[in-house]
This record gives sequence, structure tokens and C-alpha cells, in this order.
Amino acid sequence: MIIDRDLWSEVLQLLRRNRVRTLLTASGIFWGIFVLIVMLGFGNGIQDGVIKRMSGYATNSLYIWGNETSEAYQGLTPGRRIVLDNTDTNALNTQISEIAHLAPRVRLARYRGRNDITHGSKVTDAEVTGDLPAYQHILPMAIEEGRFLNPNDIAEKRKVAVIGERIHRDLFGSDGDAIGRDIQIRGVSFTVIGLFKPQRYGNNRERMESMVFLPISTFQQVFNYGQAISFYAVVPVSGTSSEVLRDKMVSLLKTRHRVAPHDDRALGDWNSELEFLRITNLFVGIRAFIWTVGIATLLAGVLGVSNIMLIAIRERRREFGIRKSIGATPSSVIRMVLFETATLVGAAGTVGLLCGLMALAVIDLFTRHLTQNAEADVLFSAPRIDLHVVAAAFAALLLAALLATLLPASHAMKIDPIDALRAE
Amino acid sequence: MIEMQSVSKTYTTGRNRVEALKSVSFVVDERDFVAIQGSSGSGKSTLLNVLGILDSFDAGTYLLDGTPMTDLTPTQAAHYRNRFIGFVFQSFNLIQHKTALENVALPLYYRGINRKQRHSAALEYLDRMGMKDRADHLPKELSGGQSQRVAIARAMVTQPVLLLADEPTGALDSQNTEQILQLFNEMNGEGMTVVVVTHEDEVADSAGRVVQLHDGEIVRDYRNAPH
Repeated sequence: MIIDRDLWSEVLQLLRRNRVRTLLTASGIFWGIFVLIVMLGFGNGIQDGVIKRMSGYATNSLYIWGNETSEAYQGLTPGRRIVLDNTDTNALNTQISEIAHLAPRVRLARYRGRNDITHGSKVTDAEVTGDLPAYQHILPMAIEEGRFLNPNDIAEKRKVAVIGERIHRDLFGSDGDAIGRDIQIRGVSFTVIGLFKPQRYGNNRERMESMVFLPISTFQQVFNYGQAISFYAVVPVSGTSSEVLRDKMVSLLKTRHRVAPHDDRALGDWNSELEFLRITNLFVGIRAFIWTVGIATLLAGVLGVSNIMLIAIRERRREFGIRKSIGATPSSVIRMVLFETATLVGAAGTVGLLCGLMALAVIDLFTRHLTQNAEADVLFSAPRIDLHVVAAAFAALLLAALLATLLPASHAMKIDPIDALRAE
Repeated sequence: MIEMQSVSKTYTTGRNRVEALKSVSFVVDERDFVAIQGSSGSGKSTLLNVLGILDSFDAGTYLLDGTPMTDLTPTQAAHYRNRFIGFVFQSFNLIQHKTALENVALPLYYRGINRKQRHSAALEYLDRMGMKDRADHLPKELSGGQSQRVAIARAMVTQPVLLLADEPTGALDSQNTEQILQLFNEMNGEGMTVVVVTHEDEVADSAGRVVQLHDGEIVRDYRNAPH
């Protein structure tokens, strides 16, 4: 289609001549694109926010712990407590190749428990766990000072501790140096070797600030846990889903602890991958909803264009008749009508697009103090929009508008100059 | 210039069949000035539309400047209209949102002539019609006579072989009528073939030849005595 300057001036003349109509038609398209952009940007912002909150832990981590059996098996009565221990750890490590990182954990108390952590006269509470160095693959860490546990700590059963921010604050003050100093946990002395900080707090800030990590071997010994393990935190090798890994681990543990194969209560598990998937699916739904609303709005705009063009062509019957009588070909008539639509939709769409992006930028500006703050507890991140998607939506809109104008344009083409010029 | 052989045209509206043209044969020589007269329903409008390639016909042949005008596609018809024919209508039919100059230049746009040449040609023809000083006026700012002169300039600007007018003076007072007829005569004198459909005797009198239609047939065809 050749778009010459004359066609341009022709179309601009027409659009200018019917200002109100032009504006009303344009506003339908403008609004459609604007709403789509803002909704998509918001949707992305919320999705990013939720995912950010979840990202404190590895998104495919799996947790397994022992419960009580619910079925009799091999002469054993139901209600037997399953206690996982270090031999299970060895068995899992040697027999299941899909494990990328296995972190057996023992836990002394949940946080907000007893006030049994002290330093001099200072007292506080903490979530005290015994861990392997591998735990840092499950909970990504940013150790600010000192270090996390290492294999020597485990092998030599060193009495060392990595403490969270609140513990540090409570026992040593905000600026106090803690590394190398001792704290007492239930009367046992541990030397602080590191200050723990997660890479992201997510929505668990309070809990994460209250953690104290000890070597698992030391923990089991000084707190009389023997070989016992409270639960496993596991990450599968890439390419394996944590669902599959769970089934393998559970089945091995069931055999080792003589649990009936179909006793589903004996071992408990929690799977962040499933949780993640659930939320991802939720967003697929939200996205579908946004697109449905956006496209419906745009479609209304497109039908509006089609409608208006029908009316406009009816009003301009006489003009088309004149044009035809002086040599306008049918294709030049169609071209003029389509070009008029394209100009209108293109301009309105572009303005809608720019305003939508601007609105997102303004929203970003006003929410930045929340979204840019890693510690803020908001379910919203900076609104974000994929420009490829926008460009595709824009192109589709233009195409739809042109298709919707074919009908009015063919009306214009069929106008009989005789009738049109006779009609007074 | 115009050679029509047994041209017939029938309209069917619902159950009614109207034979608008019944085997009309009709020849117009180059440089002739012909008035077609007839009461309403006589078929003169149909004849005008067929002559102007605005409408098709059912049977017969029509040669315009030696070119057959049979079974044309809409695009071909548009090209021939643009090349061969200048139209003048009773109600002027200027495009309201365009200036006089733009109106006159428009047929040249459809011929693919560039803007500069279009405008200089349009200005020249407006000048010939005595309308140069109104070039930038919109049709609503022009009187009836002025509008018709702009319309004639538009019809002439493509240098057609045939000027076809449909009641060109029907909306004008007697003074303007006289001036328009004088313009037609001048152009005819310069070699333009002119066909005017009219019911006004005054117009018919100024033509060299009068063709009278009745019920789709030519009932009388005579020459006026030279002025």
C-alpha cells in the first residue's frame, strides 16, 4: 500500500473535520490499550512480588520428617514413632542418586520458645538447629561476618555457632562485635563464628533473624539427641522433580523403618515445588483473566471503530459518489477508508500505550520505597511489562481494526455514484 | 465521439421491470453540443449514466472516442471516467471540506499527477472560469453560480473528450444560467464535445442539437438553427 503525502493530508483533513467523532472512537482504542498495559504491568508486579517473597528458600526444596505409623506391619503395632537418624542419612546419600543436597537437621526449640540463650547478663530466645554445611544450598545465605559451618566443625564436633541478626542484637547490641565471643545455649558454651543473613528475607524475616546454627554432630552430642534427626531438607539434582525424589526417599525410609508400604502417615513431607507450582498456576489464571478483560475491552474498541466508520461512510455517501464520478477506483476508496482507520487506531493505540507505560512508571515511582526495599513486607514488586507482548498486542489490534473496517470499506466501495449524487 | 448501437437497459425493482432504454441508437460527433430532453421517467437519466460510464447496460454497443465501453470492471470504468469524461451536476457536487482549488485538483490526484502540477493546472482552470481569486474558498463560501463554475473547472481540468452535464443550470438563477451556458458554448467553440441533460428549453435552445426521449426511446432528434 503506497502511503503518499496526499493520502495523509486527505485522512488528516477527514479526521479533523469530525473532531468529536474522532475523539470518541479513539478513546475506545486508547482505553483498551491503556487498561491492558496497566493490568499486565500490575499483574507482573504482583507476581514478581509473590515470587520474591517465596525466594527465601530454594524453590524446589523438599522436607521429610518422621511421624507415627497408622498401620500394623510385620508384627509392629500402629502408633509407633518413626525417628530418623544418621544411618538414614548415610543410606539416602549412598542409595539415591537424585539428591543434589541433603541436609539432615535437628531442632532444639522453635523460635519464640524458651529464653535459654545468654551472653553475660543478656538473655534471649532462638530457633536453635544442628546442621550440615549443605544447608546453605537450601537456604541461600549472605554471611555478613565470619563464616557458616564447615566440614571440620562437623568432624571435630566443635562448639561453634552461627547466629541471626536479632540474636546478635539482643546479646551484643547492634554494633557489638560477636565473632569469637561465647554464648550459652541451655548452659552449654558456643563460640560465635558467623553472623547469619539470608540472601532474601522473604516473608519470614522475624524467624530468619532468630536462627542459631550449630554443627549437627555437636548438637546431637551436647543435647543428648544420640543419632536422631528431626527432619531432612533436600534439593533434587536438576532435571528431577522434588515429587519424584520424595517418592524415592519415602519408599527407602519406609523400608528401613519397617513401615507398611501404603502407610501414608508415617512420614511427613512438604514440598516447596508444589507450593511454587500452585502459585505459578494461580498466576497463569490471573494472566488469562487479564488478557480476557484486556482483549474484550480492545474488541469493544474495535467494534466501535467499525461502527463509527459505517456511520461515517453513510454520511459521506455523496462525497464517495463524487470521488467515483471523477475517477476514484474502488481500490483507492478502500485504501482511503482503511488508511483512515489505521491512522485513527494507530494514533489512539500509541497514545494509549504511552499513557499506560507512563501510568506504570508513576505507580513505580510511588511504590518504589516499598518495592525496592528488600525488607518491606509487600506482595507487590515494581510493575513490569514485556514490550514484545505489547508490540504483538498492538499489531493484533491494528489488524483487527482493519478487518473490522473491511465491511464499512466495502460499503463505501459499492456506493453507486448515481444514487449518491441524486440524493439531495 | 459517441456511438451507441441498440443500447437497452432494464431495471428490476421487486416485481416491476422498467425498460429505461429501449434499443437506443445515437451518434454524437466530435465538437457537437447536444441537449437531451425528456420528462422525468423518459430515460434521460439512464442515458446520461450509461454515457458517463456510471452505469452498465444490458444489450447493444457503446463506443466512446472509439473505445468500447462494454463489460468494464469497476476499476476500468473509473479510469475511463477519469480520462474521457468531465461531469457537471445540478447540485454542483463539490466536496464540502475541500477548497475550490482542492476540488478542481482532485481528478488529477486520481490520475496520479503530482501535487505541484495538480495545483498549477487547477489554478489555470479556475482562472479560465474567472474563479482564481476564490481558489482558497470552501464551497459553502461560494454562490451557486460560483460553485458551478468551480465544478466546471473540475470537469475540464483533466482535458476530457466529453463534457457531460446533468441539469447544470437547474439550481441557478437566470443570470447565472446565461453565464454557464455561455461557458459551455465557449468550450464547445474550443472543440469540446458537450452533452447536456436538461428539461429547460433555454438550455436546449443554446445547444446545436436536441434529442428528445420518451419512454426510453428517441422520439425526436433535430438541429437548432445556428445562432
